[in-house]
Amino acid sequence: MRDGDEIDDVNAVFYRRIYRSDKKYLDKTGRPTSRAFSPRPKDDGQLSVDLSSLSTPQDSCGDVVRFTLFSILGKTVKSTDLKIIYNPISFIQDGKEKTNIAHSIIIGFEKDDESKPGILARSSICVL
Amino acid sequence: MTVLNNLASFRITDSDIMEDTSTVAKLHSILFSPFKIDVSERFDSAISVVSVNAISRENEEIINNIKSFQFLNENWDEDNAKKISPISIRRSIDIVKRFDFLNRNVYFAGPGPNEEILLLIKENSKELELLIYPNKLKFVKFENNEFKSQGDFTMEDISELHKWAKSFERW
Repeated sequence: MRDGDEIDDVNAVFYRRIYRSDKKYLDKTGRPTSRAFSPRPKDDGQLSVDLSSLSTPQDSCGDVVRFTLFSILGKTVKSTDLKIIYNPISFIQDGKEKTNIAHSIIIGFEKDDESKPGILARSSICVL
Repeated sequence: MTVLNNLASFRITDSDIMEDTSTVAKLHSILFSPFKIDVSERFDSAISVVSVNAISRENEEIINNIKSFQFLNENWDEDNAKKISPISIRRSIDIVKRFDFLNRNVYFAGPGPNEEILLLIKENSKELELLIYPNKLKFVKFENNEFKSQGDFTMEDISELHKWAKSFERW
């Protein structure tokens, strides 16, 4: 698989790291809110996830005190007419260059469509 | 019956039967928002004002939670979330008070990464997401965890949204 390829495997599992401090993104039952699956301004309408087959829950989550990890199925993403693109990245952490070969992006969020983050949140399963 | 506010009071006589809910809503707005009017007694098509109560404890907690969002700084989620807009905060509090007036507790309030606030209304299998942005108000309806519909709303639509959440499921 190359950078930019679409991942169309409906059985593929993706990890989404969610900020857990103060439970701002978790409701009373511990379910993530739709806001946890809403693209950030910096991401230009794209949502970062990790392809589970190229990562581990621990690697994708990082600091378990600050973050929690949820999974979503490729089937769910495709059912919402969103696409998943393989997008490995390099970044600087603690002064060292690191690579995340599992990094992928969900694209296709429309500006005024608020349904998709809610659908993804309701379909997600807590991993870590 | 005497209706009291912190600063003022006035009397509603037996003949002051409220003809519709909009009249009650106007009276409510006069009375100052921390108070609500219980319209539980109905006489034919008319509604009688029977009591004035403080905002529910649950909604008060929600409002306090919303107020706390003003202290979230840029990047509060360590993923570049924006600071919550004071307009979103003010509007969200107004909406919670409106639901409180309708005797509805807001289930959850949470911040979003794009200056918005999420208000969640839950009843049995129905969930209503209200997204309060500084420049728009959006609703999303879910039933049995399945998406039903979405759209824009105004403060005038809250009663209808409340009715949807309250209505029994139809099979």
